[in-house]
Amino acid sequence: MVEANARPGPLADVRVVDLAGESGVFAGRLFAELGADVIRVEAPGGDAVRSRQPFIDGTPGVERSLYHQHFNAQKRGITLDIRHARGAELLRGLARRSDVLIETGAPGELAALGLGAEQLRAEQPRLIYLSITPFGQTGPMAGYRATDLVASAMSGLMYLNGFPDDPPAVPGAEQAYHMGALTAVVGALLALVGRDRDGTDTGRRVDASLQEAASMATLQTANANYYSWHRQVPVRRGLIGMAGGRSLFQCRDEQWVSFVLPPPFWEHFLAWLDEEGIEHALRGDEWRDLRYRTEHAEPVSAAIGALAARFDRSTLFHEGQRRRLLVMPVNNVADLLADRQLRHRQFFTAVDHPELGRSLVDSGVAYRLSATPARLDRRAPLLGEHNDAVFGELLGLDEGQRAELARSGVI
Amino acid sequence: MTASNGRGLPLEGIRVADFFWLIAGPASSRVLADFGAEVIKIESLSRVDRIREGGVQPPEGAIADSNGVFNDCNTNKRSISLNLSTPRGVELAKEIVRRSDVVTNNFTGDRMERWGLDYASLRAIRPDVIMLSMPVMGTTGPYVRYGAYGNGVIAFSGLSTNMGPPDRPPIGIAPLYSDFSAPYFATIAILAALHHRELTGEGQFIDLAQAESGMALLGTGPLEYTVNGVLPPRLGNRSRDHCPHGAYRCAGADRWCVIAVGSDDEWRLLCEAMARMDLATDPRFATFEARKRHEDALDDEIGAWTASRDPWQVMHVLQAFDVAAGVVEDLADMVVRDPHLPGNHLREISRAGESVSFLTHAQPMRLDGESPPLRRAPLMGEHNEYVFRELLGMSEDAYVRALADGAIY
Repeated sequence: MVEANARPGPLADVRVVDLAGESGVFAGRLFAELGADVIRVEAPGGDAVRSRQPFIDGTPGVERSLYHQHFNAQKRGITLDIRHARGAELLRGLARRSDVLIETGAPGELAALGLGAEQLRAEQPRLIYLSITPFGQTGPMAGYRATDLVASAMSGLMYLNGFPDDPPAVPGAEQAYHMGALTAVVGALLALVGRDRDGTDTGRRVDASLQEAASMATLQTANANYYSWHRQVPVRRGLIGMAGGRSLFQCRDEQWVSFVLPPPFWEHFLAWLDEEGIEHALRGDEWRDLRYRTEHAEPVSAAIGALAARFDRSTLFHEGQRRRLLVMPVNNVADLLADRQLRHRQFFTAVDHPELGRSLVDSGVAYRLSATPARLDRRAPLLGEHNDAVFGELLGLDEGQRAELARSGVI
Repeated sequence: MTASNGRGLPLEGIRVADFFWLIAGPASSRVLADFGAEVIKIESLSRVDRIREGGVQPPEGAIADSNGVFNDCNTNKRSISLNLSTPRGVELAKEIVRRSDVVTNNFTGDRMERWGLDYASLRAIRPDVIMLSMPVMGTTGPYVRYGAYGNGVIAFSGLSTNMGPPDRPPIGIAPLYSDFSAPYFATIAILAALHHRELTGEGQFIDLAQAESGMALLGTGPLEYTVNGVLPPRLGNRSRDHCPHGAYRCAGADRWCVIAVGSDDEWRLLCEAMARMDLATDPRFATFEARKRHEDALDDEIGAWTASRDPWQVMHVLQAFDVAAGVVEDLADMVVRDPHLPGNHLREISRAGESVSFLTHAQPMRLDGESPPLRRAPLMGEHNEYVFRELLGMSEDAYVRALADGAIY
């Protein structure tokens, strides 16, 4: 297994300037986990991410937002007013020493400050300029505003969730923001690997759209060809899953499981019903046919429901998996923290935060790289924590110059 | 295959020996294929990729491999059909790995080991190989043999209990969601490993548990529990940082528009857009805290305004006032009515000699303004000749013998 902290991450030579607002703040964390030096640039006084809930113990404060702690972990942080001419100049200096710049401004917003893709890439052709916007840099809605809710709605991701008699339900934890950041980072890494390989030593402009990113999940679940070929429009169906039957079942302990019968193991399911003495009318050969089962889903769902009601969630999960049926618990966060598999793999990670006198236990990284592990071991930066390091060591400003910039409110 | 800006696609020259099947895996290697990698889908009749069949089929009836989902996940790839239950088949697979930069699979359990195609064996023949395994639960731990489709991954990883109204069952998010988020985690890991290999010449093994990649999407949920000791509340369509924030019924059957307002300035813009300045001066709604206290009444007022209006009209009117608003789009909206997606994100692709064309999406990120061209998913074994004869340099005799022996189907 991967020995944590053994070696630097795969992006240890990469520096990232992170100007992202909430819609793209996850992108920088993904870079930072992989070992990149991610420098988060905040306006003096702190950026809006620090006012996002939830707060530690419910008390607001510039260092108390768990949103900031989660999404900015592993980054360094500086304060810089890029709307000030001198601030913009310093940012240009930082970009010249960086590989990637991440921004989420409305199209044209940074160009107005002299910090647009063309301007910065003219000075630094190696720069990979990563923009994340709701609808992309071009097109009829490029100037439209969106939060995660709006992007989730317009990507089709919302319409499919919920019960038919309820409004469509937005996915939890801002999935459009997450998908946007994921696809954007893929775009930036494609540009990085391309820069490594094609001999031009030139970066690229990466344009990521929240709507397009989140729409992929919809266009697969509700494949576009349902409409283009059949004029069908998939709708939200509550507990009814893709194959026409119910997808979630309540267990004896009132917890829930997801229960799917994979086609090769129908017999395993029947055997389990028989062992439990559960009455059913599923013995005929026609039930072996997946299509038939899809069209006559109710008796199958009733049998699964009867089985589920006999066991608690944990028993159903492990016994189902032992029988090669695809049973999964519907977990909440508390369940996950206690889960044996995740403990074995040490998925959750404790990060010390001395200033708060706490250790923050959070979701870890999504992948284990054997030679260059990704890691989460640094708390989010305090406001302006790395001003001296970045403006001094990296940009070469002496103490007097830094003090002058602080006095004039630039940093 | 070059983009029109003259510079090649970034992964040209990278070859992937791709043992992925079903959805989450192939959707990952599709990203690599779309951006120029040569992805060789290694298929085995002893384990046929089940999404080649079933799914959504053309109205004229199924043609070869015409499932819409299969075609979404496998653009730009090549396919070979190899019998991996024969020693010769495994030998040929190793010959492909010897010429590959990346090897991928998403089998649960020890399938690759049993074929003799585990990382240790492959590294012996290609020392700098990058291998990614992405089973549901990862490659270690007590659940290492446990399986699930996307809906089970979502259930396990906590993405179901963090959404929807608190008084409803935890039905969660669109059932295959993780099948399209996990691939971007997988691609990030592969690309980062490729970058490291470019610098150092060193390959590595990547273990990605699809369930863990789902948990990486929980945002502040885990911290809220571990730090504050409370489970993240299920908020329905409401938000702790915005008000109003929700889906409002519009004219038409099951038509909805979402509106998200944060600051008091945005609230005044919304009132202006609705021509309801009386609401802007109503003390019940004057501040964020006041709006939160009267959120039901607030939603009623907004719902009364949207109810008689077309959702597109609501969106365009509100956006003209800089209010974040959007249509809750269904599939027909996405394919036909959305101002952006049909012309810019969806592509119709076909295969030579076929009357059916498929609608699929482009990759959602553009490099220097370009989105790579899409080629139709391969037929099973369509590129046997190319891979075995040209790439591996097998003589005609050897190739025919492998066919006759059933090592190649």
